[in-house]
Amino acid sequence: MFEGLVAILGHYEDLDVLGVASSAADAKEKAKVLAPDVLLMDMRLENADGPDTCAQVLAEAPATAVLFLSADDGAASMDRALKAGAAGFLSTAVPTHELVATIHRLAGHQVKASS
Amino acid sequence: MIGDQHFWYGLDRRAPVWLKLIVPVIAVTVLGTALFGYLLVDFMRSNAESTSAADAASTARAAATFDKAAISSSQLNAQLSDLVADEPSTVSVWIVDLSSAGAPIVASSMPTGSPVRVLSPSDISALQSGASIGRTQSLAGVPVQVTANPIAGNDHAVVVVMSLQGESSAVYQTLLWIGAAGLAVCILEVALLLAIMEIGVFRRVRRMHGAVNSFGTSERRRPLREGAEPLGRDILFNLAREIEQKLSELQERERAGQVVAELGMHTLDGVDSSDLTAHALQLLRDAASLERSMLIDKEKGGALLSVRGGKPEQVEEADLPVWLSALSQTAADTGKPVLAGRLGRDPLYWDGLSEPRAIAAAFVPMPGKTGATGVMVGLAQHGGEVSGSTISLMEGIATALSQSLERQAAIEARKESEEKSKALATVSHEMRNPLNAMLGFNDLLLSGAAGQLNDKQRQYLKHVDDASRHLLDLVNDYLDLARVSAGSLPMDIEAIQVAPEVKSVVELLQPTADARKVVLRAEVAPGTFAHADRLRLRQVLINLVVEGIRSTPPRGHVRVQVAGGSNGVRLSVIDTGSGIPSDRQHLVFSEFAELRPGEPGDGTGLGLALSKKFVEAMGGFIRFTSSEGSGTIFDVWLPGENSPHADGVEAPAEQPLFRS
Repeated sequence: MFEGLVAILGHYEDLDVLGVASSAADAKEKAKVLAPDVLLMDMRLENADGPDTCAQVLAEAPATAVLFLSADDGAASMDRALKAGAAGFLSTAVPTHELVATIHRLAGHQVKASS
Repeated sequence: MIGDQHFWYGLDRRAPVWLKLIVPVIAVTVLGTALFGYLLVDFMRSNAESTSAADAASTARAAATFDKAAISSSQLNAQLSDLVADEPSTVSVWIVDLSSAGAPIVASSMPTGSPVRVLSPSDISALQSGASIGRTQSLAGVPVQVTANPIAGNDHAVVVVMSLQGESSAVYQTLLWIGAAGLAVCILEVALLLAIMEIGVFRRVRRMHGAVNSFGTSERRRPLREGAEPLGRDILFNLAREIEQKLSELQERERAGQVVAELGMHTLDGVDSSDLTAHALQLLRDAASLERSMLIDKEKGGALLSVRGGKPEQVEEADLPVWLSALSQTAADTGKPVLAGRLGRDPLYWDGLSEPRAIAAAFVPMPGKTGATGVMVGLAQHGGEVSGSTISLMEGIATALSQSLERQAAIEARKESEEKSKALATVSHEMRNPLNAMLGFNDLLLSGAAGQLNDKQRQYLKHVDDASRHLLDLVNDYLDLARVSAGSLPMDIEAIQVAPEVKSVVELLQPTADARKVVLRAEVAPGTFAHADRLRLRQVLINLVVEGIRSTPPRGHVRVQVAGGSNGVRLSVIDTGSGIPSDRQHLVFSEFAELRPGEPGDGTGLGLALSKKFVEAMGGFIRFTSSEGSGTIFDVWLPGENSPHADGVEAPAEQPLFRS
């Protein structure tokens, strides 16, 4: 799904997709090097857990806001993500404009949670 | 032989399956019962015979112990009667005198009745020689066992007659029982066989028959239960499964065919393209029993949704849920269908207020000339899956819809272009007279007929003259184009010498080339003839050379080459200019095409379009090759003086292979 997501976010001129990470280690490395304003993360990553990776990423790049975007949008998941230091949580069921608006808001580091 | 085959074939066709199954069952049961009965009766009979023989022998031995000399004949008779009374199956016991002729009876258990003779003369002589006799025979219709033993030095013999009546009735009864049991077994077997067959075979076959029969009729087909299950070991089960799957496939194809046909009809009816899309979505939703279907337009960035039981609604792409947008984008980018098996969220609730439901969705790209133009999305009903056949159906509809839309766009564009051409042709025609009047009066003013002009006035009038001439060129070109397109432009085709025409055109355009510092040259072999209209050929050459000069920067070259023989002539106009960008090359011969965006066009915009039409009207054709930055070559082929295609020139009846 993320290839499509990257393409969609690429259509917005005020958003730049700096990179795509394919593993937890890659995410940490890229977050450190690219220092993005916002980092989108799923609850389940390939061979890794989203919230754990989120905590690791924040240790490397504390200025980055981690926004969870997941179909796994139960209250427990949301709790875990926010406890791991996530700046926001969005369900994949939200409209694209809401995702884009949230990314913009998070560039100013406001907490936003929505299902 | 053939007749026999027909007979068996006919029997095979006429006899129902159940009959074919029960006939061998009944036959085997009857045969088995008969064989069993025969063996049992045989055994019983031999058993009875040996028993009665033993009985008779013991009776005879008992009778032999009586001393006929010691006791009176009446006492002997009484003793024999007692023996008979002890043994219920014994009919009678006699003692015969073998020494007298005819072996008279000397004592008998039944002295009152006359005993029936059972001994033949050969029996008597056998007894006399000391042999015993034991046999069964019929006596007054009753089966009896006759036993005779010689006694007292073979002078006398004891004859015992025992009835076998009781034994034979027991055998008869046993036979009855065996028959009844056989019949019962037979009925039970047939009933069991038919029951098993009915449940396991006949019912299934009837269902398959019904399913196949109802296919293609308006009757709604009930799916076979086996269709959804994995393969088994019963070939009938597997056959039913195959039939079910093939029928559903066929049904999907039929549906797709119907949908495609319906879309085609709508296209022919000239239905508006958004109505056509809405219709395709409704057809898809109904045909595949989807919760909803939608088309995400990748070119306009919106989506058309079709909801069950409602009119399609229009939604901005940004309002679609993220998962749906992302997956449809993936389908569009890869050009392949994407299946989200219950990973998605029901977009019915994308306002985020209600609890989203998991839903299965399929994304099928709409094929276009340069990648996907959109993505068709099918959302399954809650809890349902999107099957492979639904994806095939979606692909069929997507292809048909995009083709229909393309065709419709082409039809609309052509109609629009035709209307525009017609209107423009009318306007152009109406403009010619006023333009000529303007040019005429302008000439009069310039010639000083209306009084002397100062330099400024003369310069301004010259501008008016230039502009009016350009406009007149445009009007003339356009009218030519309209007439040559309609086939109403007269062509005066004759064999003309190409070289003088080329030279004259090059001389005519030399000042233009010089003004732009472009080197213009002609390389023409004298004596080359072409079948063409002189005026139109000149027009084509002028258009191509002007186009070459226009696209060539200062110090560049434009060359006109002519080559050919008696069958055809090739005129090439070669420039070292900027070339035509590859994404514009398909527009080269279009009217008013902007071939080099950003560069000012100072021609009529009709030159190349008109040239192509003229060349084709003269029986030739025109091609070009161009590479951006290094120049363009226009090649014009025209029929030569001997060309069989040349108008008005008859080809020789016989062409010699070699010329001397």
